[in-house]
Amino acid sequence: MARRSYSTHIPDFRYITYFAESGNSIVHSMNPWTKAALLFFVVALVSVVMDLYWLLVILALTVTFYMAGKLPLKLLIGWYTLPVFFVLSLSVLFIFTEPGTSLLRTEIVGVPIAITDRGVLLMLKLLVRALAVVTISISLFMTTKYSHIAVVVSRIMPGTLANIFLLSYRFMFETSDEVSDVLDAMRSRSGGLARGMLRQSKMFAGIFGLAFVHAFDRAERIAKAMEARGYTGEFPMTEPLPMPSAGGYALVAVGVLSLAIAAYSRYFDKGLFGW
Amino acid sequence: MAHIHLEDGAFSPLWLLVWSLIAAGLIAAALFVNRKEKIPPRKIAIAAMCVSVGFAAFMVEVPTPVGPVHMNLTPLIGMLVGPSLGSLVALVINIFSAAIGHGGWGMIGANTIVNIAEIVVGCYAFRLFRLRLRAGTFGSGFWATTIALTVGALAVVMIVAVSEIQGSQLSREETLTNTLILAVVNIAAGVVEGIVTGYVVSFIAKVRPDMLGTGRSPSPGGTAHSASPGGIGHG
Amino acid sequence: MASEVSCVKCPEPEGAIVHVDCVTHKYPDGTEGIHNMCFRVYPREIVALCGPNGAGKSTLIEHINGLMMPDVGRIRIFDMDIDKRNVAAIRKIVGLVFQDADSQLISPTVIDDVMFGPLNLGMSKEEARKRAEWALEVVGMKEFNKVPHYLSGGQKRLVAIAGVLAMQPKILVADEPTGDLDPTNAERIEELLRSLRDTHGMSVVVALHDMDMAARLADRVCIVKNGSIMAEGKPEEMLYNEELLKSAGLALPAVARLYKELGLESKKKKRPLSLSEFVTLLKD
Repeated sequence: MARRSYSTHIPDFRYITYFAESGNSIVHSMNPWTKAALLFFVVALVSVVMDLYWLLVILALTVTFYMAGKLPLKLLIGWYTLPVFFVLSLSVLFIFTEPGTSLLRTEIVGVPIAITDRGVLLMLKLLVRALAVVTISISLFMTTKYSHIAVVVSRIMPGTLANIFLLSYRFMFETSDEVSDVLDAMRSRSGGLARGMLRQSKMFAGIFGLAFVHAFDRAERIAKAMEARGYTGEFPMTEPLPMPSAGGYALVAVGVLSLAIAAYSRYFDKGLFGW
Repeated sequence: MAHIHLEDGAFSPLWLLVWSLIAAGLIAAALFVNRKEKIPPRKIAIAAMCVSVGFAAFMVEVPTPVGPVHMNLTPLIGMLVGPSLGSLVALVINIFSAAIGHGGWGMIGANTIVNIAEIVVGCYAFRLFRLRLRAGTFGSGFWATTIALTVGALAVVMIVAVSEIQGSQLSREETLTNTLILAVVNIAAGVVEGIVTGYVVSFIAKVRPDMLGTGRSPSPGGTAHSASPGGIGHG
Repeated sequence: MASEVSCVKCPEPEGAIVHVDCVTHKYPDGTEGIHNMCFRVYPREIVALCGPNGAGKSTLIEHINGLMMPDVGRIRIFDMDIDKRNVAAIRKIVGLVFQDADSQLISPTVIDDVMFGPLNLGMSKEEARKRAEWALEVVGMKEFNKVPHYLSGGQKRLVAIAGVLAMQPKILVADEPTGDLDPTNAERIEELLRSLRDTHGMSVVVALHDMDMAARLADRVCIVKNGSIMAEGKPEEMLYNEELLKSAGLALPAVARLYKELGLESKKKKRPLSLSEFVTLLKD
């Protein structure tokens, strides 16, 4: 198991990969291409669907998918922190400025402000959309082996980009461990209690600076190791990745159909689902 | 990251496509410059390590009087690797970020445009301050970062105002006003990051000046001894 | 551009498969990594390059693999002088295992990484896979599909060696191969290096500052200091010369220290190079 994460609200790739490599569930055994397709459909659906009810259905389905992967719900809820924060930080203004029926009125320094129903609805929709995509995305990465992700990436990205992605994923563990260690060393000498922003800034700057210096050193070593073994521009991906099964194609078909219906009902027949 | 802080579904599909196409164009240009046949393994490794460190550093909470701040570091990446390689770094960081819910998958295009703006401005502003204006390393790093993140914040405002939030009844002008308020908060956070980055640049300049293209590297004990690809003088 | 002139004190070696001929290399900051370096490797031998940090061992090693080019002098590998044009061919012959095994393991799984070299040589996936499986068998590593990050330090080192072995070089160069390993894994690596010479007929160059390991492993020891070889010879000569080792910033191996402190030198007893040899000597 990876070392403890140094952030409680940002998903850690060390944790994520641990679940992917050691997990065993129906979702783990799903074809990665199918899961990638599902991610695409969820992103597309939340962008097209406007009705809160259907958005909640999508969110419920993604959470069910996550649970089917035998993944800890508590972890997911903790990792919702950032998306919730991002949505709230934007919509906190929209809930006051959206036209609509006032739900709550108050005054701030003599200025009347009101929370409107449309504002709250907008915020809820943004939130549900965000959480649905975050859930399916995290589920995908927590149930797909690292080697399978590597194959998918190498097939869909251009060569240079794929190589950068793969190398950075490979060494993210080491880099994260290194930064963790430095932070632990700092805290063990009461570094977290630094007084004054300038002193604090210098301390963290040292940590980040050191991380970048070590990263460049490591990059040199990696490059030499690649050259020493005759690197020609390709990273070999030998893990066989078959195409989806009939069940996988069926899921994809359901996704296509759902998207088509959602798009039709939004753009052509608004009466279809009570728009 | 001066992320747009919007998750999937905030923009309509049309605007997602527009920003994605623009970003794809910028990335295509960067890929052309860094073609597989021409890019040495060293550059790929440096870009990859910048992604790893950028991502790891982002997870660190820097306590401030107004609460914890997460560092962006895109301007610093621009200073270290230059605009073309930096653009690729920005895209890959945004993909990893989307994977963990920090920004939507559909927002990768828009977020990448913002980050590329920060990287380009960070890179050239640093060169301007360091080479032309002969500012110190801290000052160059601070001003380059603050200016870059301000540009990034304004790019966010522009993108959100142009795209409008899906389902919002507000006019473009009203959306603009709302987003400008957010931009002010982002710019303030950018000043904090500017201070930290100034110190980071000073640190790097003392330990490995070649990374910034401002000096020769020390001879190794297994460390590099050639200048970074994007330091001053490199593209 | 490398000079054609040989320095006076570098004799033409007969039968050497590696000849570093009066090579000098300067880093961009002006420091000399190696200076008038003369070094040879013969078939089926293990050569230990011993010296403190910064002596020039790693620099020399990287020259042999063509990662660095000499400013002065030449390097001959079999019948080829290393230059930028034949570097690919050189790397088929000279395999380099780095001190930091982690940085060498770049692929998602162990088998992917070991196949990296053979695929770069132009082999088909099937051939490369066979080669990789063979190499992993040689080093005793069975977990083909493991993610490199989850390997122990010793396992990473073994996979790094396998990654180079799979290219079937004639010469294996290893930089501090047991540097940060626990004793069990260090012993495993030592055994492996011996078997590469004995069973697979390779020459092995090992850069290290562990004198005990040099004593146990090497057929020939070269003492490196300030970018040059200051002395070379058999281990029982080099590693018992306290003055020489001290001047190079090194220490006597434990067996040599014990041998001298027990006064066995004056009794003209055969100098042991390992604990077992020492025990045999005492029993005799």
